Amino acid sequence: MKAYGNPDSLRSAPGQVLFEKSANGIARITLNRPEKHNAMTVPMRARLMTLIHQCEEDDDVRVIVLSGNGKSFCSGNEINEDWGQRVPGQKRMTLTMANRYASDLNYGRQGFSQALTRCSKITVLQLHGYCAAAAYFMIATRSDLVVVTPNSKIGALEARFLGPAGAVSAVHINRILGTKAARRYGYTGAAMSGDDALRLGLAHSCVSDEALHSEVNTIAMHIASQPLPLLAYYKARIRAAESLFQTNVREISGLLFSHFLQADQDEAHFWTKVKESGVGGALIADKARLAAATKKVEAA
Amino acid sequence: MTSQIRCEKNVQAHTGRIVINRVDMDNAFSIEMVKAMRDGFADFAQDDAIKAILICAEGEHLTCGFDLTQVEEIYKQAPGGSSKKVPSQRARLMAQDALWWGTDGLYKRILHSPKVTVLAAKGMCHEVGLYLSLCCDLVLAADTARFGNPRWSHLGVDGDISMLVAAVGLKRAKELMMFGLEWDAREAQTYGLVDEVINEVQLDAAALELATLCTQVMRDGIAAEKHVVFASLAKMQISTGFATAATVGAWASNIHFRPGEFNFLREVRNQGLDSALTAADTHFHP
Amino acid sequence: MIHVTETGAVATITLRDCEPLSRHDIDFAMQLRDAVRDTADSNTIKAIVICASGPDFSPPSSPTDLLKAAEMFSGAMRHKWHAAYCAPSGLYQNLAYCKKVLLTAVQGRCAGAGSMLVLCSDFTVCASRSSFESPFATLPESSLVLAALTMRLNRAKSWMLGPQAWNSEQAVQAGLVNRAVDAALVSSQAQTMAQLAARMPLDGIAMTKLLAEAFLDTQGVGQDFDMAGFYCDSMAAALHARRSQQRGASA
Repeated sequence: MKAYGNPDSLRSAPGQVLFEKSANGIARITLNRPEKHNAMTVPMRARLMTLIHQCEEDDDVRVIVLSGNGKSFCSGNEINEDWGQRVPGQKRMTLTMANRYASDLNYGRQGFSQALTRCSKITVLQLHGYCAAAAYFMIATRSDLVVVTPNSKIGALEARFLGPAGAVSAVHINRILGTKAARRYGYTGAAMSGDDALRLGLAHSCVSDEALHSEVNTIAMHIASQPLPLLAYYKARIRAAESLFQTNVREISGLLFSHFLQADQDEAHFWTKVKESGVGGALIADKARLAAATKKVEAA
Repeated sequence: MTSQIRCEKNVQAHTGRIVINRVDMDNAFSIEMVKAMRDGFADFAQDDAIKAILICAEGEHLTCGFDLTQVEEIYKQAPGGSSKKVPSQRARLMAQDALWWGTDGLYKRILHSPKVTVLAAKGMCHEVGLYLSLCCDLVLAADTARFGNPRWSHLGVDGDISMLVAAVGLKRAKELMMFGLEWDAREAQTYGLVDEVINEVQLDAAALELATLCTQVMRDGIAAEKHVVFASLAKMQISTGFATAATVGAWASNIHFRPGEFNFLREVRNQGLDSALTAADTHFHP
Repeated sequence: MIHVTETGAVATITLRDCEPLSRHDIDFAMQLRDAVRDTADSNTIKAIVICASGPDFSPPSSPTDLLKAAEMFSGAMRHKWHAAYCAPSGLYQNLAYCKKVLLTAVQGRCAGAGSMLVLCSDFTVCASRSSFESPFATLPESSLVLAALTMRLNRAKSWMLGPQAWNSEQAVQAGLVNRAVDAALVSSQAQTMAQLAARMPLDGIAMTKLLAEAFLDTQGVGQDFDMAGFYCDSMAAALHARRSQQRGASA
């Protein structure tokens, strides 16, 4: 498949998604764009997928650990990115382009999220700080074992301004959190703490920031110490169960919709605001709107 | 229309509100109330000004459930319901569908509402109250709230279980199904039935605030997500659960009670509701 | 080996422990299947409690026993094994789709087949010191779908992949176990719960179970059992590989 991106993002990707493999079979894929909370560009996601496939084909790899450098695991996809979508003369996003982005470059059959979901090796996620949007939908809720810290902030944090965009409807999220929490976090856009994630069943364990690396290492070493046929058996069982349970299929997330949504006069439209005042400005405007709404209710 | 279900709109705030008001009967749902609530949801669905719907109740309780004095009336009103002394099977199936589980049934209407739904739960949240909690998107519970369906342990389970299991897990769901338990608000929150427990005095305000918060999302955003939710409910086989519930619910009236078993509906018929409730209590909680 | 008593509407099936099932003993599976099926078929019985007289409900199997067990599902006996354990008329589907309310009372350790019995039963009471090992490392007939329905998806994976057996507190929190009590109270608590469930009219239990059976099938539990035969060879290979690794380590 064609490599999408711009010259800069394509060139930077290898340094932004690091890979190492230990002698005892632990492969580590580490997001390395800490100045942007590891926001993933299209080439970064493509590299993530390539590395996952590479691990699957390598008998020396027993387990894959995913993590991120800096203050957060990952804030989601890079927004407002030039990845080759601009077609001269076309102002609006076409469905073809939206499908390419949402499907091929995100959660569809050819995308990195399905590569992770259906990976034949066990995956362990080392999660600290923010884990939002695509990182939540397509990585955290697609990894086999998730280790978090108490002040992790996990969820579809963009839901406040985009709408739930898949956070409520995703079957895998419903089956991981239970339907109540899936709806609560989806409709309110609230963040799950590490303790919430453990209590609800998303996380395997919740440990302090200081203990995070060693906890993940302990788990990874336990898995890596087991013979390959047993590990392969476990993943085959997981894949089969998820197929029966419909949790490994692609979700239809708001990525496909968001550019087609229209805001009425009394509503704010996130993407319009982004065009006017950038992502930061749009987020600030959204916070102000919410504060005003809360004041209105208190006064009533 | 009935005053026992009030449907109100606040167009400026983009919220609709449904108030259950039959306090003297612990907000027991009559057939008329079911239909009024169902119609209220249909109306809100069509109103572009409305983005979120709040269900709340007057009095101490959300609801004690369906009005059991009307159980036979449901069937009599359905096609084929009056032709024989015992209502026909088709009447029972159609009644189950029409009231609760079918396309225009109350639970389907709430679950498939294209607007965000918020429930303010308090006191008894039995049977219909339990299903309101399962079908609404967001559930705030007063510390007085208690959730369950005691009738199930008297009769057998006769409603959808797929939503309950999806919320709380299989074995926990079975406790509620088979033991005649109530979960208090904290238990319900721990197990995954309730979002937040609020002091009763603050419940209605908190629920309104939550509903208003949800109206901040674009209409297109709410509608887009809701329609994908409908698809995923089908993927999770909730619609199959509803169809099964309608079928099995209709069988409930075929149940044969053996010697020593307590026939609650016969008690209601012969002795009246209050006496039947007392007798049930004595039988099931000696 | 299997002892059945009846008190009112509750039948109690007592085994020494589930070890023969972890070994895939075919006769034992059929005896237990018959005991459950016959009691479920009785018009006086509404609830069935399965318990163990030994110190552990289901002790973990030795590596040698596991290899012998693998012979049952990967060798010449595999069809008999399948009929006894996986088929609709086999043990676990008779439990998971039992016509009457099914409870397991767990003392001590619960590994292998015992954990599968726990998954298949409607309710479980355990001792506060009980531990629960996942059945997925040793039983190709274990159902991950049933586990996910019981405790949510990631918890099922945690149980399968994590380094440790769960203690009773973890098991209750996950929803695998309904109640954890002092060891001395396990039996009476199980009987109390069985009596509670048995208050439902007989026809009401039939109705409830029909609903539950339909539900399980919509979620893929039946299909999960159907797939068990496909996992046998890879399970056997995994057990052999583990044994070789353990031998290599101790050499």
